[in-house]
Amino acid sequence: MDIMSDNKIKKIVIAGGGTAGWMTAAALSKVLGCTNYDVHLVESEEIGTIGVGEATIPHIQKFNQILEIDENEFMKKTQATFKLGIEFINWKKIGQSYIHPFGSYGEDINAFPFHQYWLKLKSSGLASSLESYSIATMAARHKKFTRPLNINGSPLSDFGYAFQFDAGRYAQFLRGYAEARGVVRTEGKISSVELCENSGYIKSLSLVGGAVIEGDFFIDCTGIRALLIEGALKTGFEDWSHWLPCNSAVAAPCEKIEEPIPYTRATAHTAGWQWRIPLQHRTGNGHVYASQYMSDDEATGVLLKNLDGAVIADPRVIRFKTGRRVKFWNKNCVAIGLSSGFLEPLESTSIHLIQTAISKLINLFPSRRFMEDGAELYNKNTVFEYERIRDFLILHYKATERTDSDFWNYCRSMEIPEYLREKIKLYVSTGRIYRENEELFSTPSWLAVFEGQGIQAEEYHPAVDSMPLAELAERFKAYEQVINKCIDFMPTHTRYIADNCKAE
Amino acid sequence: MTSHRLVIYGGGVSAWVTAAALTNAYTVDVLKVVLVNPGVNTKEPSIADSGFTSLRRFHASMRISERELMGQTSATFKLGALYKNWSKPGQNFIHGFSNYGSMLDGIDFHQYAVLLHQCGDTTAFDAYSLAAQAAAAKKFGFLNKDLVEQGFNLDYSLHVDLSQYSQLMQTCAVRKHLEVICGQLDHLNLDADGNIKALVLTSGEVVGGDFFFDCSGSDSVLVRQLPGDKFLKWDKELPVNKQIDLVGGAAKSGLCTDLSVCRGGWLKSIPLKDKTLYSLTYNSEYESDDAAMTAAINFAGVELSDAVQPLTIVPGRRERFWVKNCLAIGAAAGNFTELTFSYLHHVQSGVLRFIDLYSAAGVNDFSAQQYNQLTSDEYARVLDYQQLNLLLGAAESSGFWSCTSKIPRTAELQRKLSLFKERGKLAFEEYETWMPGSWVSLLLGNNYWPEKHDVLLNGCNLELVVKRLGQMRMVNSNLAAQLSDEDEILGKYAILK
Amino acid sequence: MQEEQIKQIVIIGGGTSGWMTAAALAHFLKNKSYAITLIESEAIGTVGVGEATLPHLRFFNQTLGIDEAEFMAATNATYKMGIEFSNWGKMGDAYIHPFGEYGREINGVAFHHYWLRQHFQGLGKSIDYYSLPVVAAAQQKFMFPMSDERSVFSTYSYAFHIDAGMYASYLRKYSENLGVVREEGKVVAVNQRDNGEISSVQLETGAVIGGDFFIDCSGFRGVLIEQTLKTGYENWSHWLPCNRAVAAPSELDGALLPYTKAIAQVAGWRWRIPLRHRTGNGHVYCSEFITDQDACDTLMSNIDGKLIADPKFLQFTTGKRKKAWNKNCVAIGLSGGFLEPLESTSIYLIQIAIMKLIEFFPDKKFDLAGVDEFNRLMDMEYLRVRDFLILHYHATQRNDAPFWDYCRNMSIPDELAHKMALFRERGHVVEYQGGLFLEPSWVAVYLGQGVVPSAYDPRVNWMTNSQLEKTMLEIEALIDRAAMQMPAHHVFLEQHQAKTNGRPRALMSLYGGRQ
Repeated sequence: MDIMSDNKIKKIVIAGGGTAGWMTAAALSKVLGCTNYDVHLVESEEIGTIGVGEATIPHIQKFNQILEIDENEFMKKTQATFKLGIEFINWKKIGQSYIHPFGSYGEDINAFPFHQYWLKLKSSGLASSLESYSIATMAARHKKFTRPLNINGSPLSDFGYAFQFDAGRYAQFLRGYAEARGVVRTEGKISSVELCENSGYIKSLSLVGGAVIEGDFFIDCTGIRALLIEGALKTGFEDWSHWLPCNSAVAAPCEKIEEPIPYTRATAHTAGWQWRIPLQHRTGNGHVYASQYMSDDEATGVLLKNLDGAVIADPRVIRFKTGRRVKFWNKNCVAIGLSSGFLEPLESTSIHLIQTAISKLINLFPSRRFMEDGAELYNKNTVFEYERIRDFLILHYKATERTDSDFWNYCRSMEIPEYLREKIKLYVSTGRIYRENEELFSTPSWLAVFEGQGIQAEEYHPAVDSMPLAELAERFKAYEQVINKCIDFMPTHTRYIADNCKAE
Repeated sequence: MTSHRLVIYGGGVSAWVTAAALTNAYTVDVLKVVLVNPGVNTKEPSIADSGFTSLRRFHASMRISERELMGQTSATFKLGALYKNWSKPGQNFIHGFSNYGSMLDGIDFHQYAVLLHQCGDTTAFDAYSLAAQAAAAKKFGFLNKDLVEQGFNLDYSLHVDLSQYSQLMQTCAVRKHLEVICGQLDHLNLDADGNIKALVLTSGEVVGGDFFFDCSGSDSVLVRQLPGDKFLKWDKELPVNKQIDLVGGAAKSGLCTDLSVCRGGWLKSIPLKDKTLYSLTYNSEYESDDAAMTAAINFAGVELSDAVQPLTIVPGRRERFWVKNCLAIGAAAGNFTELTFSYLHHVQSGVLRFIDLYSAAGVNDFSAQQYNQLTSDEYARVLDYQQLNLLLGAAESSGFWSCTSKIPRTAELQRKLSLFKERGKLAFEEYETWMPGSWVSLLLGNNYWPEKHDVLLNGCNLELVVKRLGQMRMVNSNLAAQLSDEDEILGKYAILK
Repeated sequence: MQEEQIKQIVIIGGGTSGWMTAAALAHFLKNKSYAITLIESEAIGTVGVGEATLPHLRFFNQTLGIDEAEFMAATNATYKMGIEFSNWGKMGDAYIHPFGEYGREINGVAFHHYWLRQHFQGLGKSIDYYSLPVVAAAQQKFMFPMSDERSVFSTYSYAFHIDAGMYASYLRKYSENLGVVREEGKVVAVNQRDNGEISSVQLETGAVIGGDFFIDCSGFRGVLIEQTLKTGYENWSHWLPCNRAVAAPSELDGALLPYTKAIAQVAGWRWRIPLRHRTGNGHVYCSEFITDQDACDTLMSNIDGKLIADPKFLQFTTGKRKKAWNKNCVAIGLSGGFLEPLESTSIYLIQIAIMKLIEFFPDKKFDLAGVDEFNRLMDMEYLRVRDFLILHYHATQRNDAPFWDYCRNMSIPDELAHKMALFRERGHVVEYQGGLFLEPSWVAVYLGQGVVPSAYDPRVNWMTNSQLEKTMLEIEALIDRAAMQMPAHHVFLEQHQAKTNGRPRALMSLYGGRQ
């Protein structure tokens, strides 16, 4: 026996099913393989999952590819629809709407970002609205969809898409996938977590009824309860609710709309916002709010008043605290999903955070001998991811002109993190958007929210002036026409689903 | 049946092709063919030409094998014409002798290309032509029957050395029953109606005949002496008046003739096996002779030589090609400036049309009228095509190219342009030298895009269209890659010389 | 942009042209969110004279995915290889204009020049003997042609004699399956927009049917194209003076001929079209030279079988609408123009209009270049068919009636005069691409009606007399043997009624696959 195999982790235990648990199980079974590792998952049917109908971002395609999941197959099984972006209504002020699209605006000219030229043209009164130059936005507005097409130079080849699906069915789908690859599922409620006295490592989980599950490495997917990372390991939590004051949500699905739209909608209310996620069989809805500004009953009332169809399940209230775990990887335990922290689903980042956690874990997967060697890097990167998303979310609350409620008055005038402050300042004074490292949200996303919520650049890059205004106007006009043409030729979202991935 | 006597006057390529075609078509007991060779340089293209794919049918009808022909005329295979930076700088387009794409669901391929273009597609149109792909990859070959049955085509023409080609035609004609007389024309003997009775040579020899062919080049020494002859100048329609021809070394590839724009007009090159003809055609209003000479020399990469001087050219055509009992063929009939490398084609088409209309009962006004009508129509469409080339060549808006948009156009060309601009359809004309697909690919390859696609494409499955078009491009480039290397195949032909 | 897309297409009139148009549009525009409505009234009868067709109809059916065997059963069809013209050049003459070739091109020279050379030597037979469809038709035989170009069986094509009414019903079913909506009713009023475009039609019932694009298949009346849009009509009756017809079907009698008959009369001509269940008969005549009664009597006295229906009279003016497409209205069928059915061109002209309409299918802007091109191409088709028809009347030696004296002496269009002169002089047939009748057809009618050239192409002299004689005998024997192998038309009809395979691919050509 060589050292390697002796030191190898043999048994991985995932605590908790749900989206996080089964995504992790599926990925580990595919990438690490269940002949190499024993992968166990413990979950209880008694404990519900939060999964209320999930909206995703385009990165999930990568996850599907790694797992070699057929996209149409997965969509059929999860009642999924396509998603081209998120529409934000009433955020800047009541009555106003913009879409944060999965895709860029226009095309770079002479290696300079499109929006610099747009700023110039806008100042001359010659530009159309920003969204006219985004194929994803225009398609969303027209309820059209096609997967990107391989056409050289065409906007049709240059946009992203994600999915809106039933998270419960997604977990089920992945459970089938994981079990087929050898993941062992144990039904049961965790009653206690045993630590090793010397090392403080988790040794085993005891289930109600007495069963004990031992393991070398534990993944905490127990959701907000965070049974392992917090309950057992007492890792600690950093509270961000002064920046993101919402702490409750009430969710209720309603009957489907006739033609599901290819985007998620986030409508701001007086003390929070409401999501709408149209699936093939129903529409997911929820109202995220700050309980100090609105009661549960009132929040539920607002939700029910703003549904497209009859409600099909009782509204369910969920409590949360926005913030992150002080460490995500502590000892022989990694927290994935809500156990690692909570950011409201305003930009559909929950599944993405699960996905990056899994991918980092696989990259840094430890051995028994060096159990915590990857932890530092893991934690550092995760903090970065969390904070950058956090700042992007804060922007939505901060950049508002709303004065109609205490909630918005608070948000408008609150202090914000320095990073965000600098980012806004740079855009206002130069029109430039600086993207730090692998920050999730890139230039078009910031541009969409800046412009959509009233933060305007006062200058543009001087290099832009090298192109004559008339030529610039001509190019923009042509680009707009091309986009219109592309939209003309896209099938409707409904038709595209019918042709490709209609749920049986 | 009485035997007629046909007399050809001229010693250039048009004369020898005419002689070869006539002696091939008629037995000597029907028609006696005599050629009077003045032995001077005929003012007509004499270095190289390529013709179209019709050239090969002509050779086949004369039972000249391609191998023999290629061996004797320093020929290379031609797959198309390369338009270099023609419509805009940086854009090259090969106008190839093959289909561009194939029909989908009963709708012309190019409509789909228009559709994708409107969606921002920047794929080069010649990605859909097997000939263009083969030429770009320096590949050549003959498609097997299976491929042809599947709808693929790869046609070709030849680049030939015209003096060697003349020699070959001469050999063929003499082998049949051509009688050759050497001598220069002194004057014509006309009858009371103005018909030619005989050519009287400077030697005093009198060459009588029933019918005469003026193949004396742009001097048109016979036909211009006949009553009612008129030359219609195209000084507005094809506004160039000078040409410089240079011969340089063999080109890297012989599969395409090249065309590009320059300040005074255009540059072209025809690659032969052992040399290349470089030619600059220009308008002296926009470019001085010296500057043109410098440009031509740079283009050809040859040394300056006093022997080469700019030639004056006069684009235009005879009002009537067939006057009395005399028919003008080749440069005597008209001058198209060779923008489209079609000299041999016009010579052959002229003599074949004569044969088609010639009757054992002789000729008369009906034949002449019909010939002149058809040829006028044909020339008008050819002129349209040349003008279209000039209209598309917008790479330089200065110099000569600043005037091309003001060139007067025929109603037919105007109709073609408007209908194409409006909805991507090509207006039908009866007597075309270029087939509709050729016009369409020339237009699209040089960025003349319709404003609308075919309305029948509304609601088509875009995903499927993109997939199908992608497959077409892939099949073309795969097929092209499987063809033989140009050098290899030319080598095989050389051995058989 | 798609808001410019036409959404509502309204076809006025059923009948052959209406339902052919509806079927083709429904086929080509399916899945494209067009609504097609056809308005017809059972009270208005259809003319339905187009019972003899050309091979192009096979192409139409093939394009629409219609099974030929099914189509033949549904229309009581028989096969057709050509048209026999009797008494046209002079009394007692007869020739068949075949859907196919004569002999074969030799050394790049058309066969008829070789035939002429022998003819001048007083040798050889009538040119009929060198055409397989002529020989086979005369022997009442029929078989599917083959596509292998080396075979003599590839030198012809075929069409059908059909019951046009049944064809319309068949296409109605086809169209309705593809979503075409039929509205019963008579159009009583037509509404126009400020720019003159038609906006809607009103029916007797009061219903108003709006549309973006209207197709006038209302027959001679031209409810939209003429009565509403006042497009104007070009009258050609000085060249084609027949202006009436009387038609009457009769019971089957005698053999099922695989060809249509066109028999010249004192002031017009009679048709005879054999179907499976009846024979179509008609008499086309010029009212200036014969009374309706005499015309009807002539027809009656020449019908052998029992009459199935009373004779029906029709009036027409030969000519063409000045513009087949005017504003947002296209006239297809008799509303677009009328040419007598002497060469069975009625359905062909409908078909060609439909095909060109699809090629130039508009959007709501009705851009002019496309409309002009459509009109130009249709004009070309009409003019070329017209000239070919005039040839039949003009190239005659008949002097037994004032009608024929008129035709023989009338001035004819310059282009036709020029064509005839070129043929007379040296057997040259003027070639064109954009038209229906090509060299074999012109040769058939010229030679069949006594227009014999005075010289032939001297290129044929490469052959010696004995070589020529041998070649001609070989061709004759080949065709004789081929015809011998073919089954009788009625036998073939029985045996192959339901057979779908073996039918060659249809082409847009009057002749065989070799052409």
